[in-house]
Amino acid sequence: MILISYVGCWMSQEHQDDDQRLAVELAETMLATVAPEEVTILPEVSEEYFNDPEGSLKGAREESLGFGVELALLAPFAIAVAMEVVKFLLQLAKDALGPQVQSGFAAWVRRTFPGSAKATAPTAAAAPSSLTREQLQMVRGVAYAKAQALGLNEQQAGSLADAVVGGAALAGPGATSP
Amino acid sequence: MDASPRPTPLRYSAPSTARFVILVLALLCNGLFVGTAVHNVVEGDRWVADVAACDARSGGSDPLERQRAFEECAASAEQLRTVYSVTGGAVGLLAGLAVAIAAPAVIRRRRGLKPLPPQLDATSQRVRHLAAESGVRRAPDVLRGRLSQRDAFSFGLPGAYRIALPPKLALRPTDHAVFDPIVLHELAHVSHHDVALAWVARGVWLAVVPLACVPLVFAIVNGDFSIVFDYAWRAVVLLVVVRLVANEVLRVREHEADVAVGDDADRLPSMLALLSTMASRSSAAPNPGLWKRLGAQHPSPARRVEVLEDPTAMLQPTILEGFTAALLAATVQPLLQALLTTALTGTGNVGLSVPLAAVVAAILLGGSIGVGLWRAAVYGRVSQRRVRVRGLGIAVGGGLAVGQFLSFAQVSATLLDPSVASVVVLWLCAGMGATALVSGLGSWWADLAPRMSRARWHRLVALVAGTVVFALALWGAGFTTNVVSWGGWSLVFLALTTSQVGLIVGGLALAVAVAVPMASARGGRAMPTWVAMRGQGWSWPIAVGPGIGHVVVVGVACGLGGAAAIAIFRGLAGPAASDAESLGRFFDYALVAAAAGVVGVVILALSRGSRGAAASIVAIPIAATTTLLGFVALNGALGGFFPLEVLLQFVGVALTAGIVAAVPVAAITLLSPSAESVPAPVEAVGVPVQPGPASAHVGQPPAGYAKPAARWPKLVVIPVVALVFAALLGGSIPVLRLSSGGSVPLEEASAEASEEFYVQTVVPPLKQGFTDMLGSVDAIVAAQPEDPAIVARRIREELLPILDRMEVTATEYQPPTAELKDIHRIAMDSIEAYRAGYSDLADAYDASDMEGSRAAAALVATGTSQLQEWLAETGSLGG
Repeated sequence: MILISYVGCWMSQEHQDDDQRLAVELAETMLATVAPEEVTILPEVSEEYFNDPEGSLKGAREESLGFGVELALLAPFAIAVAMEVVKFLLQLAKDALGPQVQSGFAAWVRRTFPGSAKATAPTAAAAPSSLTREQLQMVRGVAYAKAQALGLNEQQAGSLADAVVGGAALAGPGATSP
Repeated sequence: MDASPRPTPLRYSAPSTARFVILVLALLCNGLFVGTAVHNVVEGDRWVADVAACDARSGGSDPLERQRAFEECAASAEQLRTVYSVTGGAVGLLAGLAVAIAAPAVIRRRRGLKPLPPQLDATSQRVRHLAAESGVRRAPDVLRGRLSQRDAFSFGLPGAYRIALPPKLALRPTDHAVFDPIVLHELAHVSHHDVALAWVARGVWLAVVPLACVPLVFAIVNGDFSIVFDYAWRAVVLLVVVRLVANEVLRVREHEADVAVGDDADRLPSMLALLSTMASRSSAAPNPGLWKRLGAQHPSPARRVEVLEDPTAMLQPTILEGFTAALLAATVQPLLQALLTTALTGTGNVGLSVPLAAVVAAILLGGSIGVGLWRAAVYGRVSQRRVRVRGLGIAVGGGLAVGQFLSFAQVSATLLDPSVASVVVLWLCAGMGATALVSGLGSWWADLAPRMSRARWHRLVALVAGTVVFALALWGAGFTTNVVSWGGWSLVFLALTTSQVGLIVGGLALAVAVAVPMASARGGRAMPTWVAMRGQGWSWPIAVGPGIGHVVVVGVACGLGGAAAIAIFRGLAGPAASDAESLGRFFDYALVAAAAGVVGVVILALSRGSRGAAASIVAIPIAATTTLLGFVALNGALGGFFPLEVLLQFVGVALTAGIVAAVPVAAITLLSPSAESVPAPVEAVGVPVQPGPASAHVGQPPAGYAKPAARWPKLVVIPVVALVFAALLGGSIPVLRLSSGGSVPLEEASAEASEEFYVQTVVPPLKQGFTDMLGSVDAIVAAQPEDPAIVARRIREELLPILDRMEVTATEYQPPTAELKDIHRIAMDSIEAYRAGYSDLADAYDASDMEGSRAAAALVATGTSQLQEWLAETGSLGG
């Protein structure tokens, strides 16, 4: 029984690592569009983010002898949004294909999102057909809602949400294009 | 591009530096008190025994000699107390420095700051480039913070400063619109030494918090709760106030860092753009509450934009600045005075403790409020921004008044004592008056700005003048407070009839300081280069009046009024009935001369605002001298004669009293309409004229400038010449003829006057003291406490302080004749016998020592018989 539980934890941890890697890749996709200069430090940012997700998203107190400005990286927010999107897609896939979907899930996501860093050209071309327009809209909505929940303003939230779905011209809350 | 001059107030000075020093000093004074408290616990019994032994040993009939002997004997005990006090302060300072030194390592660890990775070399290079451009000799190290860090900040120690960049900014060295203003702002903090100042202030604060708990711990451990509440609330209030002031000073330094960047015309637009963006974002946020605003270390972005566009917007000292600076200085002064009193015991210079403590506190106020007002006056000329005095003056006065209660020196004092409460009004007026005078002096010296080649000379004069004014205010108010506590307000008039050389020198120095710009400032000079950028071709505006002639006329008129008052009084009252009365009238007339000068202060302050108040310092000696001349003329007409030393004594008394009174009376300036409004017909003519060819207006008076009318001085000459002539005539008759009884030797008249003076001025407060003491005894007896410890405590807390005050009052008086010495000696012996008797009685109650209580009762009985003897002697004097 203990062994089963241990293996379960190990598998769960492995899946979590997969999800995190996938989220970072998705975040990289978003940042490449929205804040390209942050892509270079994404590995360090992601490491710090996953060590302390809440602390990374929370601003520090007012600094003595500071400037008084608030300059936050978008990267940790992109990762947080990406994590939410990954969770949503996993649920979507499980609903469609059953619980065994986990093993091929990452590959599917990479194929599905054209901007994904690991996507190859042929799969990217075929990707839009993997999700319906309504599903893509739902993904965008999930990303947008999460971004706003994290305190990003409307424009930033819209940009990230657009970047998740590859900048497709989707109608929806906070869409930046008609 | 705007071609008008841009004020550069950072070239002048930062009064906020003085306010950092006030903060640290106020905290260190808490350390002094802690040291004294530790002394009282560790060495208290030995100190009491030593001092009592010295008191017993120092006998003799001459009170001065006795006092000197006592001081010499008690010097070692007092020096030990000084060592404890200074050690308390030193511990606070060293601990604070230790915190400041350790802070950089702690900050680095806690904030997870790391050096920039190689891929961000461009960022380091850009910071070094900007540092070189800003004139920072050693570029600070650049570190990068955690993801949660969103603002840049600077920290470190002198020579090893660091700038911590948020990750977002570290990635954007080429984004000059954002990166450059922020980094330049931080470099300004570094080059202004804000980092060191802020962290020393914070370090001392952190160190003093645990130190402040020491007296409480001792009190609780010893079961003595008498000071717990008194001390605790003061400590809490002081620490909170210091923290709030520190935040406020930091907000000022933020403005200064912004302005430092904006002083570079090329950098100004990007700085403005960045702050404007921040302002537009923050405008959507709800307004923070008062507490949050007081706790904030940054001004609002909108305010920063306003100051960056016009740096003179930050120069007006605020009400909060005035109140807190005065409050902290007022808490420092009595503690320093107490420290100096113990330190100087045995040196024969104990009397210096009052003026020295006043001067130290005055330097703090002169360096902060004084320099701030002068700077605002100078740079306000460029932007036509008026200096507001009313609110600031009330704040400074309020700070001084509240500081009297907040000071640790008042722990265990009875705050509701009427004598303490009544001097609060005096402190309030002293602060208001001093603020008005400093502001007026600043306006006068703003006229002289073009004569100064560098800002530092102007700043130096500002510091000295501000210090002198505040020293006069603090010294006068402190001196009066002491006198009131010894013998009530009636004793103040007695105290004012002694010349105080320091006060006179200070007052005359200020008169010279006003007279110089009054006589020499001329309009049309070129704008000084240290005042503004793009100031070439602009003339310097000067304010108009009151002119020297106006002031002389007022002074002479008031002096003539004083002389007339004396003449009318003399005419109505007739000749003095005795030579003693003649001598009493002599001092009264000197006070009339002082009052004449004070009337001049009122007239000029009400009619011409703070400039008039400052100018009235010149009117005081003029009025006093005129009254003197009138008095001498009158006396001469009656056939009297005054030797030179008597005349000098008259002037000395008149100036001392006049100057002491002038500062609080100058508070009336705040009622003047011109104190709060732009001095339209005066200042408005000093508006910078538009530049044309430089030679067209530089060197010429600006439009509307009118030289003060010179007709009045000519009119003044007539009464002055008449008075001098009459005085010379009077002086040629070598007889004192104030009375109709013919000439009497001065010594004899003096002796008679001294007795009358003793009966009228010295005896009443001492009688009142005896009455209070006996009333206190009745109250203790009436309460019928069963616990002897309660009786002992009440004797120590209620009875002995009365006798201590009486002893001080009695010691202050120096009997001028042998007869008075003998009589006064009886009073002092009585006080001493009562004090020793009741002190021993308290000890005997504590120890349940019946034998000791009988001996103590015998001493009390001795005091009573001496009191009866003294009352009989003084009765015969009066009869």
